[in-house]
Amino acid sequence: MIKPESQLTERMQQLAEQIAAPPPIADGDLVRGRARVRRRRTAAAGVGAASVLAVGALVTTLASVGGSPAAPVAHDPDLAASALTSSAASGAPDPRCVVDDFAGASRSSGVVTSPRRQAFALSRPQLLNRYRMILARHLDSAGTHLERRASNEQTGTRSDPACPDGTAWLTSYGTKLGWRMPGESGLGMVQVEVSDGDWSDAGIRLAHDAWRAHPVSLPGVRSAEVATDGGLAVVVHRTDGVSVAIDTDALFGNNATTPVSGMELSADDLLAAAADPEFSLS
Amino acid sequence: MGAGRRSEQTARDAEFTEFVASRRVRLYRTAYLLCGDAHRAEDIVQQALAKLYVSWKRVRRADSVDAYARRSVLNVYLDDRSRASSREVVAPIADRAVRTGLAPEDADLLWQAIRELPEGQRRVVVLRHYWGLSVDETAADLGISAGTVKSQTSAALARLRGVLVPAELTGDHR
Repeated sequence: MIKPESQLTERMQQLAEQIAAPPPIADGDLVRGRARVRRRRTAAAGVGAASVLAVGALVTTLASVGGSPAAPVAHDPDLAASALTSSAASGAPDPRCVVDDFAGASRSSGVVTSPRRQAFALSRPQLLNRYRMILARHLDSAGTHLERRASNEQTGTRSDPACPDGTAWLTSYGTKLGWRMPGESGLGMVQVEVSDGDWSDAGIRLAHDAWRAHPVSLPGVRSAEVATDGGLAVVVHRTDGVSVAIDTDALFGNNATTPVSGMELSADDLLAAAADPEFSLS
Repeated sequence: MGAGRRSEQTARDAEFTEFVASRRVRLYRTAYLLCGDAHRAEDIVQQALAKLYVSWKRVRRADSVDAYARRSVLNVYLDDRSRASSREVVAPIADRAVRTGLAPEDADLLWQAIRELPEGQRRVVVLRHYWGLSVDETAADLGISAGTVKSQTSAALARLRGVLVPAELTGDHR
């Protein structure tokens, strides 16, 4: 008899074959790709130009304050004012707009784990460090289990008109940390994800299907859920709209092949950690 | 545009065109299996390929074009899902013009069962059983642990078992 897994593979292939796809002509994709490249270059040039103008305006302002001779650029005070205004209006985008480069990077709502992002500088190392400290405070006060440095980031984004092309609105941020047991060679994992977007799209939410409500009485927490289908995961939904989820697994799947024997963490431990008000997206 | 940049773009265009010719249908079907709607699937693939074009040089250098494109489809689908969940549509028969070894009624049952899978299980099923990825590769694509992939695969198989058992074993001779 054919194994169910093999049978499912065969049927999925057959089912997919039935989907009539548009012809794979690249012309339209090329046009859209080139347009996207142009928009990104224009946006980058715009920010650069605004910065240059702002610097020029600043030089002028400083020169006039010091009574120096004419500055090399932007003599006209209206121009200087205009440059500053322009910088304020079109300069640095909202810090919640992050480079929309997720597909090579790790993204919790989706998603992606990224070999690439990990090889580059973390975008918010201080925030990740704070997350790690909060987790250590609640789950590993003796400092014997939790990885000492956050070196992985998980981001969730959504398109938003407030963000320039090539960037997207940050909806969730988090990290995965190794978890060791003394005397063992295995490696477990603790993941935290802070989200103020739609919880139904959060990475940890999507990693589990069997979420159930869990009664809690924690300050600032509106409700909580627990999932035990594959590891142990919790989420607290705070009254300020932020959700903080923590997922644990005895095997740090991408970083190890040997699990730890157990993590000795209860749902209540995780919920108390997740309810820590210091978790935030900024 | 300088000659260097022009020749760079020409090379990128040629490689990208070749990739699209060989992979677009697969990416479209991936999107379709996830969302069940022809128009949304096309939107998703267009966005994913535009992102791929922008990042082509880097992705090509890392020899990860397939993975990048696949992950882009998944991500765009998720981004799109939150905005468009109200217009989710079960795959219309008219979109399935090509007939394969799967009988129409079996195909309908399988479609229905896939549409009813929880989101996480559906993504795992598409990656593992359409793309043929291993547990670890699936885990890497989705940013979840291998254990979760296994448990979701197992749960999905349990849900789909009813539509996988051949008719001759169930006594259901339609």
